[in-house]
Amino acid sequence: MKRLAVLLLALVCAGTLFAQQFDPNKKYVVTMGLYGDLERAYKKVFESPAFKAKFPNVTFKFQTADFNGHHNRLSTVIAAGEVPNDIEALEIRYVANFIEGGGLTDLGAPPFNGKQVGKDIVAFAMANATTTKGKLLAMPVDIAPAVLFYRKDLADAAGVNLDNLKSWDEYIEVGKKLMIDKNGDGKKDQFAITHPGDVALIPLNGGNGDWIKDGKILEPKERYIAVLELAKKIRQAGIDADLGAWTGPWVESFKNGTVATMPNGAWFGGSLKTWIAPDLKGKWRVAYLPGKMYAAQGGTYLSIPAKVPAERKAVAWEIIKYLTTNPEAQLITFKEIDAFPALTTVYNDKIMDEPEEYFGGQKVRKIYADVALHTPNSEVTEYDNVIVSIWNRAIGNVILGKQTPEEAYQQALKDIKATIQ
Amino acid sequence: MRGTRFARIITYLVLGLFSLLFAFPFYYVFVLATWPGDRVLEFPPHMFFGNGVQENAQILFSRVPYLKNFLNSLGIAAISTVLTIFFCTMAGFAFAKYKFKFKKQLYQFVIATLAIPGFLNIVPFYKMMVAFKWINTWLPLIVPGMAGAFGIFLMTQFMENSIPEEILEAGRIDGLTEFGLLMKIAFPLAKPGMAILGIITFIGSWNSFTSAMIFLPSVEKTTLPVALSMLNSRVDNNMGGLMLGTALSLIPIIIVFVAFSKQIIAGLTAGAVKS
Repeated sequence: MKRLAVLLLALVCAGTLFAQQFDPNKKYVVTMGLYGDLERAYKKVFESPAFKAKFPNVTFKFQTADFNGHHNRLSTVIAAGEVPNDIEALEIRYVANFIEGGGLTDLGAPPFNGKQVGKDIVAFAMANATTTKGKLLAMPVDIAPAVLFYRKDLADAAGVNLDNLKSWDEYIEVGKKLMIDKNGDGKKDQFAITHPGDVALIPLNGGNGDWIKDGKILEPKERYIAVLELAKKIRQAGIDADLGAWTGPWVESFKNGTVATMPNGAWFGGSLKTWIAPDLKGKWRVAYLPGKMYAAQGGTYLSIPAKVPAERKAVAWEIIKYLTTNPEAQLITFKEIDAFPALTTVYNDKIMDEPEEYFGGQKVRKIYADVALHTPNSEVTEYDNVIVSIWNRAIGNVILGKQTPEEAYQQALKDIKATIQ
Repeated sequence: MRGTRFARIITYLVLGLFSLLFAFPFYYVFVLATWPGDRVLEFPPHMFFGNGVQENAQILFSRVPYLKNFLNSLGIAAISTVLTIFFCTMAGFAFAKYKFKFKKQLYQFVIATLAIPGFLNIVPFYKMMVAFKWINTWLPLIVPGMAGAFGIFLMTQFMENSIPEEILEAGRIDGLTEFGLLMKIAFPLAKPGMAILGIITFIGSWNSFTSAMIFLPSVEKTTLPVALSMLNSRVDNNMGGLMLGTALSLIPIIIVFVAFSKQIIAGLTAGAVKS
């Protein structure tokens, strides 16, 4: 009797395992929930001969929206306990929402073993998708190493060098020299940076994680106070143009020389090149952040919602593995939408050594790769998004002179505690 | 006499100024729709039409099935509007003109639902729609709103003030059934209120984003706001296509407003003058 039970159990287990396996001869229609330009990039990957040879029977249906629409839909469907698409993309800022809340498959567990599969994916990105309990909720597919974009012609005209700034204080001093009254009306009309808020998150891992570390909130205090002080110093030095992000004047400022520098993720280089300032080919350059600070500012992850049936999970996982660990797929995505690869083995590809015409022949990809490899791991919690909005409020209050950095820090700490406790 | 003329000129000047102020955003959207994507956000802003319509149309129509999305939006908005007007007017008539048990409590309950933010309902609502197998159909965007609290409240208030009891009594004496009273007396007299409710419902449905995003996941079946959001990108410059799509999406709203402007104004001023 006992033997029979064991045999039955073994058969059930084998059946389950079989059902979870991907069958290359079977036809699959994989559904993908994406945002922004990802659909265009992945379509290119799926049209490539290598992909077609490996997955001749897999076709796709896409559901694409903008950042917020996509993530709101996903949150609603997951909260309702229903089945979303087989694969759902998550932007780095939204990964935290799902960290402890559940709803996504643990890709670190068997049969996926994502940590092993993703051993060549850049470490900080893997850490950002891992819960404090060690579950891997998504696989990083692209990242955005943070760098300092700057106008070489404007820097030369001002007689400054932005390539090896030792600190943010030096950046402010150099920024003062970039301030110019171009039309002679007595007012400065060339600035160093669009807004002090541009540096509100970059020195804090780009806002990704470590807000709560080992149970301590906003610690070490000096690190957070330093960022508030930095925003205050930038405003006091008057080197910012006080422009709100993604407004007409903000976009125009990169085109008409109102602003000479911009700390941001690598994707911003793609925006400059393709539509913000395509005519300024050869005039923009990329430098490390002041003090050779390493951080990321953006990135995409691919997840499988928990409610997706086992067999569909198997095929979804095959597709995720291909997109995240196949060098060709990573490079196609990079070429198509400037989404920097998360796969480190690609960093040795000759494409990384190619000079970029737009950046005056500079080998900017080498810098991106170096930043990616050195960006520290950080601990992500489900409260991160709330904390970022509280932090941005603190930064705003300091910039507007409503609070001192110390007051803003204490207020933020109080607000965070009140929110999460 | 001279004073009256002067006052009239001032009035027309002020009204003209306000008209320009309100019309300008519409004009500006159409202006931006004619500029190529990389020039849309230029500063100082464009005040006159550009020459990028063809390029923008190419982006718009190649990236999303715009015509299908347009027809989906139009169908959902039109059906929602007709059904909402019909059911809310019926409910408003009942609350305004009939006496029945628990009427006050029921009305208070309906009004109380206005205080519940929509996003709080979204998860249970989604579960219900899945259970009804209504995902990827127009039904979640039409059926639950047919007897919405706001519409019932609006029509109840309108009926109370605009339909005298004496007319209904006269109708009854002349042999009209209760449904006949609704169709032949209440509906014609409530036209201004229905026009207001209609335009609010149409615009609300036309602009609805979150519900369409969640309940119509297929790009072929979804509505215009969701389709246009697909063009929103930081890497690609689809701004021209986005502006053209937005401008085209304004046309039905403008048509509806112009077609019903007489009733809308009558509805807004109803009750303002004592008869």
